[in-house]
Amino acid sequence: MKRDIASALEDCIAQLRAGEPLEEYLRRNPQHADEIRSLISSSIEIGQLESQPDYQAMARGRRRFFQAAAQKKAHAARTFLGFPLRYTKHVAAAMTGAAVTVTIGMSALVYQAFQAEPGDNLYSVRLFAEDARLKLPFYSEDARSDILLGYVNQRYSEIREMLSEEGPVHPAVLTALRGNMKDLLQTLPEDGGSSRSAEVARVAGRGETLLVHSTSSIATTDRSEYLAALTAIHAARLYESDPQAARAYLASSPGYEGITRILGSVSDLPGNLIAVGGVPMRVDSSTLLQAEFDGSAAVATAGWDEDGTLHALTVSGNSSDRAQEVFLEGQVESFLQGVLTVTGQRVVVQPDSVVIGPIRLGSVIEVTANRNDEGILEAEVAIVRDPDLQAQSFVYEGYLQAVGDPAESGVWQVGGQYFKTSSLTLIDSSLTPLAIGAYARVEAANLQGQLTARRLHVISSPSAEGAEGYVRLRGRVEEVGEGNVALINGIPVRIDPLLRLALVQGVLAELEGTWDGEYLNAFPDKTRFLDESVTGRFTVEGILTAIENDGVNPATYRIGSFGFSLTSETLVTGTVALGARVSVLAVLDENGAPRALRVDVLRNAPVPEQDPVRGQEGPVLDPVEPEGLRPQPLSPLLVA
Amino acid sequence: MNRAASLSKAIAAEAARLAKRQSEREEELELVRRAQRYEADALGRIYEIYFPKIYQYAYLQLSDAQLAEDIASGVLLQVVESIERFHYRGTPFGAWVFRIARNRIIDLHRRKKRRQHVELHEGIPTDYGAPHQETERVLEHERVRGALDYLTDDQRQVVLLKFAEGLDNQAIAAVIGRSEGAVKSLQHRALVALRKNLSDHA
Repeated sequence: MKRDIASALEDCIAQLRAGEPLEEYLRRNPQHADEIRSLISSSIEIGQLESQPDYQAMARGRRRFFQAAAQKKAHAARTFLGFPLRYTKHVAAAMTGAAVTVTIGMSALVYQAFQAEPGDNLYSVRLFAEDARLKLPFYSEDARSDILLGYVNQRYSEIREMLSEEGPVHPAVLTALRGNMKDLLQTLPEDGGSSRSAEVARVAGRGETLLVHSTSSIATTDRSEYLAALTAIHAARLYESDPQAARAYLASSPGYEGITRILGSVSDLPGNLIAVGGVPMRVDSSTLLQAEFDGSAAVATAGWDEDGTLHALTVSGNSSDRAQEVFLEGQVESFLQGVLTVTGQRVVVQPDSVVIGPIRLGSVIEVTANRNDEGILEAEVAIVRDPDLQAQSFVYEGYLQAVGDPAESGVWQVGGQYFKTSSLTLIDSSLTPLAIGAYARVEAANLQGQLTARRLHVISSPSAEGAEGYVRLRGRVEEVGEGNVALINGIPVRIDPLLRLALVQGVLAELEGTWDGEYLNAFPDKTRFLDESVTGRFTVEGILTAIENDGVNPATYRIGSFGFSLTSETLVTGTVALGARVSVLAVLDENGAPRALRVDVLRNAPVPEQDPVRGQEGPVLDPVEPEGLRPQPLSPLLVA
Repeated sequence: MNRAASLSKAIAAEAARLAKRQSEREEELELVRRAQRYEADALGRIYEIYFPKIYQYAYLQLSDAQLAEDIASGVLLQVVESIERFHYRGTPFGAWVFRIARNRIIDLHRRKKRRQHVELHEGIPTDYGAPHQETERVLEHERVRGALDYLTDDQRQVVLLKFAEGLDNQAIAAVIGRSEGAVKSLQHRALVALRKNLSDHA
């Protein structure tokens, strides 16, 4: 039977892919032989079209890919309203079922759901049921306010419970708290005067103390939730004195939905990043871009994404030439030792800076700052927009990481937070000795921008965990070793395996994690690489796996997948040969390709074995894999 | 006798091919299952396999290295974003990835049409080879790539996916949304048209 040409061609291609030579196939199937031969020759030309991405493109894509994977992994590991995300469909189904049950008030499930605690599977059902209850038509506004007040109080009790168990605050609780607080304010009369106003403020004050207390815990779960919850509480407190201002604050507060406004010079960064006033932010197709990326001034509005990075919403050019001046507006994220952090930017408050209002954690602040010659922002004017909204004192606990002189004023660090002691500080170490690694409780106040301890109470002696505590670290990756360990600022950091694959030497990293006495264990969703280009010199050490001549440079060396070009100015010490262990000091050239400045042979290549019979060279020995990074001893003061 | 032997050989070859394909599918599925658990080496393997493939697939259609990089990067990010939702229902994982790439390229063409800007063909990246060899390589590359421009979109997809990317008909059918029979027919018509275009541009 004569086959049609399309089928014959398909069969021929399949046989060629199975390894049969073309001419043999055509001998076996002489029908259409000439036609098939000529068509196959056209297909071969297509097969020879090869366009491979260069090393830089692969590296850029790889970094973005693994960062996205790490964020996705961290996100998947968290739970959504009490359920793992992959079960979201099941949650939705369960919630729908629960809604019906709540409405008719008949199911034992509802009773169980109302007893559920954060982390329980039924907790999401409980939240849904609470919400459904509010939607029932027979409640008055006052009754609705009372119910919401009860919900807010319940959320605080849950937060307190989680903190007392030393666990992180569950994001679902914060999400619910934010919603409850927002709904609560909506139910109150616009002109105030309600007897409920004082109660709202009292509840808000209670929440504020809890949230300030738990800053470090919340920072490890969801920063934007924390900021949003804090803003809702501020609005509630403001409601007591000025209801209309509270509503306006909620409506326009830049911090409420994590929106912040930044003024400064605009520059383009690799990938989908730009920097405004030195603050890196992501841009995408939803960003309204109306500015030139040439260092001219612009105003940006940006929101915090779930992964803690800024996402530009609008970037508009500014006619005034204020490239060196930066305007920041947002919530005070930290204020330690005269350094203010707003929208992720550090600003030094100088003795001659004009500061209007007390600077406290969580306050909304407007800062006009100038960049000095060293690139450090110095505050010119700082205006606190909500001067009456912060607690004067708070309490926190953590492992002692740095100990000042108990006899005099000194700087201490507990759970990643720095604070000062004074001669008035009551230090109670009667039960256990005061030493690094001890677990301590600090009652502190914010005095003129300095966290100052009123009382320091050592709860337990140093444990096997050592000086475990929350740590924030920013610095360039100095070495990348095996076992997911990288050296940053001299500190050995254990990184999520996904991010480890995206790491390159020299990249600027900002991360948060916990110190276990040997390594800083970075949280995957709090590990960011702030620039994609490697600047400055860096060193790579390993076994030389290839020496190539590319026709332009004298040679290209390869250590694994890393290639370095050599120029006539490269200093080479020792005998370079395949299999030698070398240390390469390199920089990136103007094209972004690594160029070796110096190559030192650390260990000569293995000598080829001689064949005893014929006296010829035997096989070259396999190169030895590079050794893992050795952890370095850590300074007690982890973070400058 | 000869015909029977030939038939028997063809059946054996087909059986071996099917067994090989089944084994490759199982390996790929295991890789995807591990990637769905965010295992680093599985994700790394997927990246190393598909970034160059998607880059090439995009570059051969767009002739723009930067756009090809953007497409490849965007596709791999979407793979990470959506991999949990990938369920094997007969469509190979590779087809799923290429389908994302094809959709992105179609979107890009739509946007380009709206903006009406002039394309600059920049040639392929040059990593190696002496200047004259490189020039010859670029010219040859442009000749073949130019011949692809005269094919219909479906024909172009079939030859690129089959001969540049190595996909089988089942996967190609899933990427372009046609039946396997249509792919076979498109393949033949595409190669006939390509042969003519290549001889015209020789």
